[in-house]
Amino acid sequence: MFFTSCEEVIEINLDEAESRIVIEGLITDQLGPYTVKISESVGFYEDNEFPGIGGATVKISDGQGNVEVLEEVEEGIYQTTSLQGQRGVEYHIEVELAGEVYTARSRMQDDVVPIDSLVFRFEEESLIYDEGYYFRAYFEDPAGLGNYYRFKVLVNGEPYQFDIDGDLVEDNNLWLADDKYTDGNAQDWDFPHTLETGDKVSVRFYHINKAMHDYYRTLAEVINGGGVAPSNPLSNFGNGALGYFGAVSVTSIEEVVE
Amino acid sequence: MVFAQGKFTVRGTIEDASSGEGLIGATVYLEELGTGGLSNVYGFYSLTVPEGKYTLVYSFVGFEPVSRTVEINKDITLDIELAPSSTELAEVVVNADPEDSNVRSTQMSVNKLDMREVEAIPVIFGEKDIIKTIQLLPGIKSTEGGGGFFVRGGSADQNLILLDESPVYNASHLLGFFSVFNSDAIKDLTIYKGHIPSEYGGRASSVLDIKMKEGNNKKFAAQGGIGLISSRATIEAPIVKDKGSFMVSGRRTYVDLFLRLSNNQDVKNSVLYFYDLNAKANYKLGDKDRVFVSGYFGRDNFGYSDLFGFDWGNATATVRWNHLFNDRLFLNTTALFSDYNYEVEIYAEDEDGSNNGFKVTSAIRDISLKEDFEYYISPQNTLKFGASLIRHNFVPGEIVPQGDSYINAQELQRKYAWETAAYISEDFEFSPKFNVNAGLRYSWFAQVGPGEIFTYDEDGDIVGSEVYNRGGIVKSYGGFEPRLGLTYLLNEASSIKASYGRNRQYLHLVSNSNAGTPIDLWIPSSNNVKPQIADQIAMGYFRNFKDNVYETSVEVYYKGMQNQVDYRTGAELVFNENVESQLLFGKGWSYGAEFFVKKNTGDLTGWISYTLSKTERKFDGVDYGEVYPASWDRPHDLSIVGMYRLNKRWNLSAAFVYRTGDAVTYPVGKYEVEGKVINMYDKRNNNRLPDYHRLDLGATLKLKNNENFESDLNFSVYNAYARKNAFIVNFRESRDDPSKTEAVKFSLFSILPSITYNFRFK
Repeated sequence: MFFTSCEEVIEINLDEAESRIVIEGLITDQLGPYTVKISESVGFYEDNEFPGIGGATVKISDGQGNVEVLEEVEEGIYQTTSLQGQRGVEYHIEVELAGEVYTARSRMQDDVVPIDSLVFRFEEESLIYDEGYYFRAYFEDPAGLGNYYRFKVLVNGEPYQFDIDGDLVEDNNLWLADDKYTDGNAQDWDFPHTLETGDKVSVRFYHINKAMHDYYRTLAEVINGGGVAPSNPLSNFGNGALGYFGAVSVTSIEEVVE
Repeated sequence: MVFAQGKFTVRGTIEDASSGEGLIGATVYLEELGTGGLSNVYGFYSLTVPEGKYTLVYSFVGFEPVSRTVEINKDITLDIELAPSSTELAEVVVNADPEDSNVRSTQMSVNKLDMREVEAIPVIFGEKDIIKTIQLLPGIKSTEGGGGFFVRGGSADQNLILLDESPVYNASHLLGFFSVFNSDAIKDLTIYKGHIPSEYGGRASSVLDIKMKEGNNKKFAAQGGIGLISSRATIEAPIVKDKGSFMVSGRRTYVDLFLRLSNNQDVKNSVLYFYDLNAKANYKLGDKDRVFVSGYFGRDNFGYSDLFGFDWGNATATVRWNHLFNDRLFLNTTALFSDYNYEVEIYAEDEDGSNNGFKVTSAIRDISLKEDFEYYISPQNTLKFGASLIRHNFVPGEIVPQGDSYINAQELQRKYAWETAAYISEDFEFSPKFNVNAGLRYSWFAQVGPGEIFTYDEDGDIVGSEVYNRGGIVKSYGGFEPRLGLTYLLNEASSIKASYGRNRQYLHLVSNSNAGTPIDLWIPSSNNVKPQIADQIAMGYFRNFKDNVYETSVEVYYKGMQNQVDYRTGAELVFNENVESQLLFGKGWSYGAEFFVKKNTGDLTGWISYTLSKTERKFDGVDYGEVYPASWDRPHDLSIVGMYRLNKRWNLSAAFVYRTGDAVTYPVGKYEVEGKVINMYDKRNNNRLPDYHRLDLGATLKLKNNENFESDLNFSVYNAYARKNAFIVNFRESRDDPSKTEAVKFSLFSILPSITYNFRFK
């Protein structure tokens, strides 16, 4: 109120750094194929274009002797052909590119955790809420600490656009939850999306492990400005590759606002 | 005890004649001996001299000196009252110390603030604030919008803040815009930036020693002020004239009163305020004993409707007893309690209207006992010794669910520790030109049970745990802390000084911000966390000009710090039982030169302070052990403060600050993940915020005055030329052109005018 904060675009000289490899890969317990995307970082003031890097050898194995070499379907996009993700299994990835090898591993959670329901309610215009419909997702956390989750929300098939002081900002979709304070309980999570009658809300619910949660958590911190000592998200690729390799159990639910 | 034959003692108190307040650091000068002494923090002095006739001159700047000629052939008590100087010239005198004390005293690296200076300097929102004022002094750095300060390169948790000897764990209101100290209640403020006297310990970089007023023991007096966002009032009066008095002082902001005017129900029910209450009483039980009771209670309260509440604050209580064993041996015993806690409350209304929210609380509590002896052997020789014992209780966090909440009740394990110290220090005048202050402190600390104590490896994984019973020692640390200061008088007006000191710190602040937030966590040293140790050497040249009208000094220092604390990448600090596993340890060091020029008397007074410095750190876990600058490293820091008495009714003031921007971590590139553009980082603190500068102006108009009442109107402007200083710089997708990314600077304050009405019943 009495803080008159203001923002101004400024020119700043930034250090240059060597470009780094970015590897994104996700295996789920749904039907394949699963995709691994490889790209490179660019200078901060360059255009936002991140071409894929072809020519890498990408292998995924399940620790039970099954190894699959992914097929490069497009420059920088590598896909599985026969691999079927399974809960309770630890997957390894090995990427060989330009003489460097990048490896990571991720263990898919044992349990399926579904969203039981999406419940909508109407809110009047107030300091926190714009007038409209808001939803909560209800689910039950399995007993035992160590369950982590990510919600991905699409409204009418697209990521939601939040109106922040007149600017449209796309939903990062890093809605994270864990059972640290709620272990074993039925619970609900409240979302800030303002909806209208007729909107179709689809929620994909990832049951993830702690390492994936750390990655998403630190990724969200970087997206939000990084705080006092910004640093790159906690990736499970050693050897300087940014990005992440994860194995997740996915459930989904869809409802229309009435 | 046997004294040399023919020596007798003259002792007593030196007090303000108008109020009875003890004068701290007043001079007693024996003309015949060419030496003398100073009054202590209770206004007590003692001089033991060979039998004879002496002229004693008592003085304190701002007061009329008093001279007594006395035959000292037995021990005598001589209590002195000094009348405040009535000459107009003295009204703008702004130095609390005897004129040449900066040259003569064995203290270096210290600043003492006269409360009259604090009142004259304009600060934000027109609120006088001692923490904001000390940041205008050399070697002390501040942040805008943060409550912490940094002394000679030390981090914000390395400052011991004492209010009548009780530690204050969080000295900020309203996220750091104000301190918890109501300047109306304060008599004296001293900050030690180096050569910390042996009687203090527990923090690595500084001691901010704040003394509350005792209260007028001669007659009723009141003062207060009404400002744009807060008001304050102080009442003082005798309990028994000349024997005892009390003081009560309160302050409250009322931004939220404006919220009541809103039509919106939620806004109407919201709160945003803070308040402070200082209370003190003292009583002289005869000639040799005096008792003091002081307390402070303050709270910040922020709440939005019935959805969210957050409050935090300190409470301190001190009981002190001065006792004279004999005319030379003074003892002060202190028992104190200090508490800092916060509580967050989230209300979650269920469909049936019941509250399913939860509360989170956290606290740190100290109970302490201290004994401090002062033995006035002779005017050339003062011996101090004592001991202290502190019991620390830590409540790192508790979650209390309400109603049918799906949040589980949880409590992080409470922690307990003992901290004890003993010291001895000698202030010895080898010759009229050469003075030595030599002290040795020994401190010992132990974390004790009950509790389950974890051990972590380098990567932060738990490798073991052990259960301790109540009182069982988990880990103890101890060490010597030598403190040495030398002063050599080159001539009447100049001196050189040198000092060395070691300071051990056993508590550490875990925080998500450099300058501190209300939810910061204090943790004890333990089996995983070693005490911080700082070694500082300093040298200085002090020179006064024109009969002490101008004070100047140059000080250079080097400080080496061990066992400094930083955080892992992606550290989880909030409500973490294993928060110690998130810490990294390393070294830090800082060095610099401080230049200071002060004009003490005349229509124009003020000072210029310039610090040139560097602060760096080296941690194995940060940037692979490369040296990086601390966030608060600011090579240049300049403050210019001026107070001008225009005429009988108008006093003007101005403060200008210029400093290099903080060291910050900026991206070195960007990449794409999940279709989003993500900033890429490399080295820590590889860049700088833009330079910070600001001008504040103030003008005070004296209104109708008579014998019993005076009042004034103070106008102030913060950031007079509306500079948009960077508070933070963010890097994000351009709003105009999404194919590009840009740097965006956020500023907190533009120009802020303010007006305050102040009054005093004398």
